[in-house]
Amino acid sequence: MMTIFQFFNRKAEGDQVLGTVVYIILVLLFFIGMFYYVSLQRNGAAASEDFYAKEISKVINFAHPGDQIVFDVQTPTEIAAKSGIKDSKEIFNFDNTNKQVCVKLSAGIRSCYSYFNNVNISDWKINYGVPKNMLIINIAGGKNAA
Amino acid sequence: MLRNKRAEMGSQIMVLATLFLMVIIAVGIAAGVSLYFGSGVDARQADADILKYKIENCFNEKSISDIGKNIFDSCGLNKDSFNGNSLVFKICENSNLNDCTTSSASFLSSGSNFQSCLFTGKESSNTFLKCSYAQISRDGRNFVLITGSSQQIRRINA
Repeated sequence: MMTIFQFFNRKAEGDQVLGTVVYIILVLLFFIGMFYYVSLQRNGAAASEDFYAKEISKVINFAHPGDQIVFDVQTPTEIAAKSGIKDSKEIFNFDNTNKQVCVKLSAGIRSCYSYFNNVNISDWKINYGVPKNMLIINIAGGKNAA
Repeated sequence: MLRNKRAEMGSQIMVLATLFLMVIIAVGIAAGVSLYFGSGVDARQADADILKYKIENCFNEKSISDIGKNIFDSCGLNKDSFNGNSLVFKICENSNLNDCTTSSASFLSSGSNFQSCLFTGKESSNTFLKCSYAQISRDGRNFVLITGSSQQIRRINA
């Protein structure tokens, strides 16, 4: 028959197991988080996303309707290819409604930056290998453009 | 019971030590990555300068009355981009830079918190406005233009 001391000891053992499980989950979450963070930074994907989103939006801010912008995107397309992103429409995204440029060079996350020039991106494409990968953006007038 | 509680005390201390160790490792890795890849491009000053350039140009090309009626349409600025308060501008007539920054009166403005343009030591912060200034003279009228940006890159799950 179980004594009162044995009963309390069992309860304490249960608490200890629960504590250990929580501890292991915490450590696993930490290492998964760190691995995810480092894998995002690998190849400088996050830094390149930041740089290209800001640079492209800067150029768009200066553009006028009818302009064609040609941008060297050799480095970001190489980084995207290493991350398994091959579709150019996935690498660059131009949101005419929210006036923002988004660049995605690693799986799962993209970096977006807004421009304030009242223009729309009417059409864009990447020309591969002439002599480098070039992003070609055609600018059209935006809503209520003067 | 008492004996078991004593044992738990030791493991609780070890959890705290482990958490502390995790924080140290995380800070170390983040610092290493940041040192190696850089902390990103700061485009706030460029945004403020380009906005100043566009409004200055607009004053040269368009009439003041048109600009006064609707600066966004007259100057080719997208009004929605100024809603989030990360892009701001203020135009004051017959004023100086300090007065224009601190006073509530203005010829035209969008956004707030222009006082932060005058803060010293804000260069080290990533969240403050970075500002650009210009004096504009047109048709015998004098304006002070202040533009600013605190826009940050947005990381979105995709």
